[in-house]
Amino acid sequence: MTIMPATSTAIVEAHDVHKTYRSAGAAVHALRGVSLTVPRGEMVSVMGPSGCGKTTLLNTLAGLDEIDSGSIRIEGQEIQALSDHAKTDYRARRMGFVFQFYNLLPVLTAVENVEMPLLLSGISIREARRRALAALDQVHLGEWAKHRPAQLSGGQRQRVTIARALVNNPAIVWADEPTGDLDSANANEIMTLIQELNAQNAQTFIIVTHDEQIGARCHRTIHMRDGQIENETSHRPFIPPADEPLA
Amino acid sequence: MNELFGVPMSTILAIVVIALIVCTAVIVALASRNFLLFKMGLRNLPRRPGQTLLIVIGLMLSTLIISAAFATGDTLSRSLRNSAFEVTGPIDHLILYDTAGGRGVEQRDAVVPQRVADDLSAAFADDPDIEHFTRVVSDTVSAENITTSQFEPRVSLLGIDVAEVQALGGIPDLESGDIPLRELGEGKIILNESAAERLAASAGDRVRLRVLGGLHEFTVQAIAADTLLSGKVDITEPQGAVIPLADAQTILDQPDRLSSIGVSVRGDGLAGPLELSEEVDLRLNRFLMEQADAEVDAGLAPAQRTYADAQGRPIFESDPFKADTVDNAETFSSVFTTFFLVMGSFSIVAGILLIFLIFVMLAEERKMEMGIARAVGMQRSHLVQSFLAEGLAYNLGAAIIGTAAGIGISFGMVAVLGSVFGAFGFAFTQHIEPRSVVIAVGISILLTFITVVISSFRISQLNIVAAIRDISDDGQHGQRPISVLGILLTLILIPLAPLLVLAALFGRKPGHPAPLRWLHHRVVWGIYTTTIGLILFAILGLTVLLALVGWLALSTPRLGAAIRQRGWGEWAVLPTWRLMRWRQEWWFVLLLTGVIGVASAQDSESAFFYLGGLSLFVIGLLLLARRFNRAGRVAYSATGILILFLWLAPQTWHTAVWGKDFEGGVQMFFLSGVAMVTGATIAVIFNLDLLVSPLRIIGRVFGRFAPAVRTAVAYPTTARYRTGMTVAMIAIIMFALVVFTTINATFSEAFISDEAAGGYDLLADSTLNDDISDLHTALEEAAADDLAANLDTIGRLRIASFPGTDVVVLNHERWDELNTTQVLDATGNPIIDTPDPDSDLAETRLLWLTGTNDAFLQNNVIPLQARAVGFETDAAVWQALHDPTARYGVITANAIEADAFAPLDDDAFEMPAIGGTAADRIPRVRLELRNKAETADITIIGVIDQVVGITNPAFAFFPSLLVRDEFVDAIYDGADFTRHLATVGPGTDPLDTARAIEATLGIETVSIVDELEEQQETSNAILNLFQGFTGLGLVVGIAALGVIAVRAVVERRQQIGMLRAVGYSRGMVRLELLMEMSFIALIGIGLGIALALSLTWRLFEEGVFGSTAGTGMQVPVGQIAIFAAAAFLGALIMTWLPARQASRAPIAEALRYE
Repeated sequence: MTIMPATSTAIVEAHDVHKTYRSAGAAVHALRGVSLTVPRGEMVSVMGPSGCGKTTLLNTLAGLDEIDSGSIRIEGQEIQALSDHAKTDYRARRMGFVFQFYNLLPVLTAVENVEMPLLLSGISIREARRRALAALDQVHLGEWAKHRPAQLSGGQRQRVTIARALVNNPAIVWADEPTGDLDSANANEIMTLIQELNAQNAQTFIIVTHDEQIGARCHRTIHMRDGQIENETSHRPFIPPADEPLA
Repeated sequence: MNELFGVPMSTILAIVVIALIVCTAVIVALASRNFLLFKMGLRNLPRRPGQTLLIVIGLMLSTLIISAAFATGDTLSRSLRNSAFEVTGPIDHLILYDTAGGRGVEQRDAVVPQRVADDLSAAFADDPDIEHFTRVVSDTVSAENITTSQFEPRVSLLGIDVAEVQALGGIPDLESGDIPLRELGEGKIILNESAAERLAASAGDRVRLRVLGGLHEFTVQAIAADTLLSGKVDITEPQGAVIPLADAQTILDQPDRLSSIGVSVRGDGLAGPLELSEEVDLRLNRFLMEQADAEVDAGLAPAQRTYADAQGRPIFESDPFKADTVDNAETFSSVFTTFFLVMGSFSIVAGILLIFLIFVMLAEERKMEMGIARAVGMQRSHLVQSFLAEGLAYNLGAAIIGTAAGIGISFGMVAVLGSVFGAFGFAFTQHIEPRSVVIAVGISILLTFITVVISSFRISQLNIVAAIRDISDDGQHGQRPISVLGILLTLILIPLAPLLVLAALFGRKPGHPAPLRWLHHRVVWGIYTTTIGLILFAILGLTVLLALVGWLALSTPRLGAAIRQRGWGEWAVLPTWRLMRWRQEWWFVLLLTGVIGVASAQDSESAFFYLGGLSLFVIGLLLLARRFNRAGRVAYSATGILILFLWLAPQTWHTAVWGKDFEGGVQMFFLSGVAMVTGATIAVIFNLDLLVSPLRIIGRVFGRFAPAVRTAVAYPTTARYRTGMTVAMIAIIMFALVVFTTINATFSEAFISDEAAGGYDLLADSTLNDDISDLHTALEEAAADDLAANLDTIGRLRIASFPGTDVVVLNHERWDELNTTQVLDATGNPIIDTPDPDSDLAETRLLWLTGTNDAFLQNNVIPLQARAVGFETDAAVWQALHDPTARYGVITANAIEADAFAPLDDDAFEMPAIGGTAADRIPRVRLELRNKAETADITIIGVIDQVVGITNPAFAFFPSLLVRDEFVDAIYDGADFTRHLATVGPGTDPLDTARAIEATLGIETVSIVDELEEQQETSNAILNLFQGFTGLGLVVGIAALGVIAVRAVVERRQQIGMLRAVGYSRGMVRLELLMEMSFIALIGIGLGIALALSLTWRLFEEGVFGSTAGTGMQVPVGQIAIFAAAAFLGALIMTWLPARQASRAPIAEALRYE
């Protein structure tokens, strides 16, 4: 099953989401009735102390993890109603991911890593390579295309991850501690890049972070505690994009 | 089983136990110094139970193989030994006519006079070790049970002295009781179990014997167990019958003559007499020699002598019959065990590779934690200790399970052998010596221990920064520093290598100038010994010296404190170790070993040293290039291809270069497999990207699979080390299986070919007892006209098997020197006369002289393996034999020295240029035959094909020289027995016809095709057993893939999570892993098959296995396909579960995994 992008301005809608992990007989309530809405094109950061449920929230919203109750709609589509195959297909075409530890395939070169989502979306090999090189150029890594992750620095690796996340021109980019493994200079550079891409492409960014400075560079920060949303802080006004939703 | 590879098991046990004690002491010492490290290692076991189980299964294979081989060997040894004791009973030695003396008497005259028995009894009456002498007369007769009308053409009739045998304990019956021998009077006969079965006889039946043309009737008194004293003198023809000595002497027309005198030795238990065997044998032979000398000294004429022949040599000898039978049983079981171990060695190598692989992967998994551990102060040796503990835990588990499984498998192997050899009267009872269990477990533990130590050492060399940051280790080392040892070795090798090669090349060829020979003998060996001595002195001497100085310095309070303060303490303990940076200089060891191997092969002409040395030299060059960071794809590819070239190049090329004909035994099978697989794996692994190009095309065509194809290819091409190990593991097992199966299939085909049957359907033997000179006439006279009419062509062989017939041949060790003078020229003119047969250049051998009639020469299609110069076809050779004046002969291949893989006959002698296909040529060779006072020359003009010589019942077991009939009559006054070869009319069953002839004429008749098929079935059963045993190694290869798949899933969990996050479906994750493992498995399978077929083809082309009776190499496509499919399916099954597990892992959890 394929999800068609909705025309609603709310790209992410979560309502009363609950998620409990069971480990060694103990139940950990990771999410306790979380509800939130993210409009298309907004950059939202999720902050909170360790274990408050930030990554769980991101994973469940992205369809990487199942929820116990509640509902999540992405681009108007109930995500938990989709089959695994449909969810996978949707992620390949409409989502991008940036992880703290880069999660690049060490056996592939930078350009091969970047073109992976394109190939998964059925783009031809030639076109995928063209777009992947363009994406690497965009993150200033054109000359490093043939290098393997082990031959790149942490900042370079994270830029490859961002190129991979954006190469498919996704509607939403999920970023889990994208600067957590970087020094402040590199972190600043990465955030500048993300802000530029958000501004240029009107893509929605949901960023999990510990770093308040990172959070402050988003439109809005959602503060979490004990699996619940404690409050929200708006850092700058969000102006919804005038264009039609991305296809 | 008492020996393995010629080494006593007790010695092996001692070595293994000492090595185990040393290992245990090392481990205990290490554990006591820092038990935490051991606990760290051991705690890794329960972390992943599934993986632990897989590793134990993989590791246990070598234990299983060794213990299965030992358990089978012990069972064979014990059972055959017991059987030998049972069969020989109380008889330990036999006094026999010495047939090797060149006296040329007829077989029936090769007997022992009664007087000898009387003399022996008198002379040894007070001997403390000799208990009894037993007189025996025997011959082969045909028998018919009148009561049941069953017929048996070959029964050993034994005449015994009832009182003597009674004194020995009698003859046991089938219920372990004794047969009352006193009742064995005139007209009574005892049949042994085998004879009773063939004749369907029981006590009270009337039996008729045909002896020397006369018929004699007896009543069966009892049925005895099969023993020597009940007539079982031959394991292939165990049927026997016993009558009183005097009666036997009468009907066999041997008055006062004995076939042999049995000697019983005192001693406790079964083995007691064996301990005295050598001593008693000496005394008996000394007595026989003294009697002969006394006759000569007394001036008796030859005709008056009993003990001495015309030349004054003793006529009789003592044969340590029981000791020889028991030794043969030991040798047989030892040969089987050795062969099992050789076949199993491929699996053992695969097992060792698996251990390496497992530890490399474990190290990869724990790279970061090890890096951190090293960063916070853990020494390299600590890492080694931790891995050692873990490895030993796996090892102990594997040894226990492997030994139990090996013993279990040996039950199956023994059952198969029992069904094969049961036809020969052997029954196997499972038995395993505790000593074998200790050795099997010990060898396995030691093998794993050494492998774990080496692999742990390799692991401990990790770069800390690279490990912590999880980045590539490449380039972290910088330029390798030049070591003192490196400079020293280079200085030695640069002038040494060319000098050695020059001397080795030109030093020993005959005809080369003396200085070069001197150079070879003096300089080459001088350099070897000096160099090795210098190296040993440098390493050992310097180590001891400096360690002593260091220890003395550290022992001095003030100096010791100062040294420690400066951090030099470690240097003081092992200074040489540090100084020499030995890890970098392996290239020197390999280059030097290679040069020494090649050079020593110039003397020994050993293919093992030559090809092994060359291969090591090539690998040494690669390591040298690596040493200076110059080893890239080209260097690796060239190394691999060069090794393959060396092993696949025709022997003639090597001979052309070195002027030597290098020879190897069965060990070359193993070495060639290991070397070729190593070479091919190196070449393939460094060119995997080229190999995967077709896969990339698949990815392009089926775009949907492109990401899966890309990652499936990327992982194995990146992880060259582990891919190479796995490919090698699978390839080496496939190699062994395919080589073995192809040889098996080729010979199976050859064994049942028309050529092997020689163009005849059945064979009938008539002896002096029922002499039939013309089968056709005999059948007509017996009113069997229909039967006679059904026989189309009848050939006849008359075989003169006189003991003492000497064939003078050249001493093969001196052949080179005689070659130019003894071989006749192309026109058949001898260049010089035959040498003096009594000179040390001649040696005597026994051959069965076989006369051929015109019908045989015209009708046979027996292929020749080699023909003399001047004879263009096999038919021309057979045609030439028609001429009685030419005195030409054709010899069977089993009469000449056979090739490495063919059975050697005791009576074999060597001729030049034998081997290869029928197109080969041999020079005419002249043999001289002596009979009594006469001599006669025979010119050999052909060699009967090896396969026919081994398998065809007309020639098997008889090293024969085929000549014209007239020649046999002229030299030997007739033959000992006559062999009739016939074809049957269309639509007639040879087996039915053979049975009908047997029933009509009472002569042994067999269907040649049925015999060949029966032989083929027997050999197939044994070969299939070996094949199955080799196939066990596939389990190692498949387990390796399972280990890799499981490890891949664990290692890449986060990556799989990411792939799933960015759009990989579950199916694609499964597909990726399955493709990856299939890719590795297919390379290994393909490589193994290709190498095996290439090598086997070359070996068959060069005639290394001898002839194939014209059938050529047969590729058993079906069987190979089954092996390949089994390996591939096994690989898929082993990958499926981890792949499924990987695809089902929750994405969020996988992403969190560290």
